[in-house]
Amino acid sequence: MGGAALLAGAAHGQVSGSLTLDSDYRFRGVSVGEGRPAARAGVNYDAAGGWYAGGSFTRAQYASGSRYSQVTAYGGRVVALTPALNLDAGATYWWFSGGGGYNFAEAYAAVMSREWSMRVNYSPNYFRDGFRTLYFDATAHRLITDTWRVFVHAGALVRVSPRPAAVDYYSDYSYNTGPEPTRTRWDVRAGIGWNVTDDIDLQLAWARASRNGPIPATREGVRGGWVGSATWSF
Amino acid sequence: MKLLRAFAFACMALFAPLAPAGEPVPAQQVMVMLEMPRAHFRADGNYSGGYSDQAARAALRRVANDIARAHGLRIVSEWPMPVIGVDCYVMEVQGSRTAAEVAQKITGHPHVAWAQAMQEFSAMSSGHDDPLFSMQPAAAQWQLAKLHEVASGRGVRVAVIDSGVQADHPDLAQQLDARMNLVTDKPDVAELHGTGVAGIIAARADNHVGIAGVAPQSRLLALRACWQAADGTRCHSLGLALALNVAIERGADIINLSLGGPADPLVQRLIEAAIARGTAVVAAARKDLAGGGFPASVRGVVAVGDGASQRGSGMVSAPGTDVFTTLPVSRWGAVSGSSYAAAHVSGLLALVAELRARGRVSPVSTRAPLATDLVVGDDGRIDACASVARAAQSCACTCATMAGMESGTRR
Repeated sequence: MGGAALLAGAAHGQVSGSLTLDSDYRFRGVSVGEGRPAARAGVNYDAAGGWYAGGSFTRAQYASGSRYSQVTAYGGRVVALTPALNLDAGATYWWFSGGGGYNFAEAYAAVMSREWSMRVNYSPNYFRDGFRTLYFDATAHRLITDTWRVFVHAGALVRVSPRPAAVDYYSDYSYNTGPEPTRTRWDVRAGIGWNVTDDIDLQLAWARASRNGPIPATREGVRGGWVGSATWSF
Repeated sequence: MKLLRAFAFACMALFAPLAPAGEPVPAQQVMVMLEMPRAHFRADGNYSGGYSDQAARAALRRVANDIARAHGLRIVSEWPMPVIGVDCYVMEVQGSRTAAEVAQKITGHPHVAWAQAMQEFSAMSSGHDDPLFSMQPAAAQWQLAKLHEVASGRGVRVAVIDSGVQADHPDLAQQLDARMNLVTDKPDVAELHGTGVAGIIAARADNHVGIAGVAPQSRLLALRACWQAADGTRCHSLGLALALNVAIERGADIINLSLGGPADPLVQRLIEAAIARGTAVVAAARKDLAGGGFPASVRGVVAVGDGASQRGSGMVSAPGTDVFTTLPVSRWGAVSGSSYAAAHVSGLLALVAELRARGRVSPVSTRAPLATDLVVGDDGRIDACASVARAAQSCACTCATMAGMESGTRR
């Protein structure tokens, strides 16, 4: 190629991050704080060869109003399956303030194209409740203008541990004993996003989760609802 | 700077015709390719799926701004290219530095995969934008576009002694130095034969219409000595003689006589006078007549037929079948016949004449008849490229190809 030297990509890491405000913090469709807002900061480091690592810090509230912090750390690698498809795999660990009774680890693998992604997550002890789970996540978006997009997400959290005869479980924030709850929770989200500037993104979505399923559970009255988010990227 | 979400393509390869002389040179632009990590899971992901790489691109924008500031550049646009894992930033070079210099300095900066100048490409089209050019037999048989890279008949005067040329034909309008009617007893109109012959010799090239003449920059003396009759184009001795007089007086370098008839002493004397003064006289030949008929058989006249002819017959041949040319009124069409073959040779000799005048080779050889530079095959067909090469005393068609290979990409 005339006129320039081709340098085979000096392997310098790239740091990037974002700050997000959510009107309602929903974790996989479940509104943990029953409509209470949350703030989240995330940072990511990209190294050469598709290796990456990062973390996030979230400040949210439970339904009772008490605040808590959630910290995640993750690392993984993304490679090209085809020129248009990425294969991404890694692991995440979640820490929750207030005793660590919910901390858990998860591994994930995903296939991503420019417009959609399909991911499966496996946890050996989801929220430290003693069950193994798989969470399937399919998400897609489409640009409708240069800056506006629509997106849709469907998820399924499945308990894969053997069916317990009777178990202590939470449902509707009540402590129960009895026949085991349904093993799967579905959640969906659909919305519209606006890239206001290069760095600021706004989203409005409607999200809903099915009842029961593995914890964290969701209360009947807040299973579905609107969520607004604002993100600043840097 | 507005974020541009066009994925790939437009950045690197610009296919555009070369800017003609006189257009302003655009500001130099350099393209900086920043390493763009593949999109992947992020804990801060916006949950809207796919490549949520906004944060990654925000980080790259910081890098691009730093580079622009450090090198005095202005960011013009950004084009992510996930297929090759780069984010392409187009930046404008200010001052007198070249894009190549700046690219050299930027390459090696952290996060920069490479930097290069914005470069220009051009379409490899046939060489003339006249729409009918590719249908002209001379385009293929004589490699006319290649010949025109070497000569175009500039400064050469060709007298067309024929029926009425349409002087305001779109492809001929600026090609005539003069037009005269020497058949005063017939109304002066634009006629098929003369217009067709004139177009083959000197139709304007690259004017987006019609054809390109063999010598598009030669100057025509359109001398109407013939007229269009019901049964063909007719001329008489007087008209031809008057036309030849004018042609000689006006210093025509080449006289085209796409006509034939009985031996005529007056016409012959004038033709011989023209030849004696170094004018090339080209005439259409009839294969069924000895020497091609009259005036083709006159000594020193270049007798031209279409199609193959016998070696030693004294005739040469040039494209004369299904020739696209200018026709009245202001149109183009296909014609056939040795008349039009002769017109091709007149045009070719105009290229030869220009090369001789330009080359200013020794006086002796410039006095040799133009036709001595014609390279003719065994079957009488003229090798136009070789003829032009001989006149230019350098290479013509083949060396144009070789130059292209040297400067272009290696295969």
